[in-house]
Amino acid sequence: MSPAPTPSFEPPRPLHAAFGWLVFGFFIFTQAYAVLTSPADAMMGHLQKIMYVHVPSAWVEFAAVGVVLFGSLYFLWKEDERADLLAASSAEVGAVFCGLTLVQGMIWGRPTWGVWWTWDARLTSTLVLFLILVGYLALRSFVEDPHRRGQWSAVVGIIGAINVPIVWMSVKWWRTMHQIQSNPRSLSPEYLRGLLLNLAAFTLLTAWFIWRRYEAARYERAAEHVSQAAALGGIDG
Amino acid sequence: MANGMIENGGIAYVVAAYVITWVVLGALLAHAVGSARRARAEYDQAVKGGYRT
Repeated sequence: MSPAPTPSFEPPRPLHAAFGWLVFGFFIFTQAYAVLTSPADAMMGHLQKIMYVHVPSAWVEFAAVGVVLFGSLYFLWKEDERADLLAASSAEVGAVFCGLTLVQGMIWGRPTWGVWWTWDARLTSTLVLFLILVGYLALRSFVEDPHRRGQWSAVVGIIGAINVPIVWMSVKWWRTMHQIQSNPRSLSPEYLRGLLLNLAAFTLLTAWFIWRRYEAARYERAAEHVSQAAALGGIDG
Repeated sequence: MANGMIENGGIAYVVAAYVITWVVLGALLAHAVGSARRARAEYDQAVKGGYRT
């Protein structure tokens, strides 16, 4: 039997270890800065500080789904496996932040609305997004063939991305209990600084998480390719 | 809440939200680092352990 061709594998560019330490250091700093420097709100008291984890979690959840959309479309267009793996890595991280957003929102909702959960348009559309992301990940674990897995999950990823503008606009399109998005003009500077710093820290953290998961996925697939090639006769003992 | 009904300014809720966030992010960190290292080791093992033409 002639040997199988050597699987070509270009390892993903490794992140410098210092980048990870810097990102986590920055994250700890921004969390401490926001919590310690923002005064209690006249209406919400200290409950306002949940904003520094809730809003950034929601933002990076949207950003992660944006990466899923990009990866899914690119995979369907070029059939590049790397795009599929990037989308999958991003969906995983996005699902975690989407779940976090829901839990943080519930913790905020209990003292402000008097209930942990209500079928409000914003909450419901966010829950739908979370379920789509969980479904995306579940689908990937059920389908063995990598190409079919990539195609099917890309379709689910695109559907999930379509839901993002619905989540974003839900507070404007429907009458909801959830407040309309704040903007830099509606927030006083002592709250805005902490929020912007945490938005930056969560964004960097998410990029780091996605890249590490992407690295792992690339190496897992490369190991599978090597094993398959070896099984097809690439080993000479 | 708007009428000052939240006891202690809702500190218990704030602590709960932050602790849950940090625990989840810590778990995600451990998962991301661990899976990347394991996958790299698996790949190295697969190459070393047998793919030679």
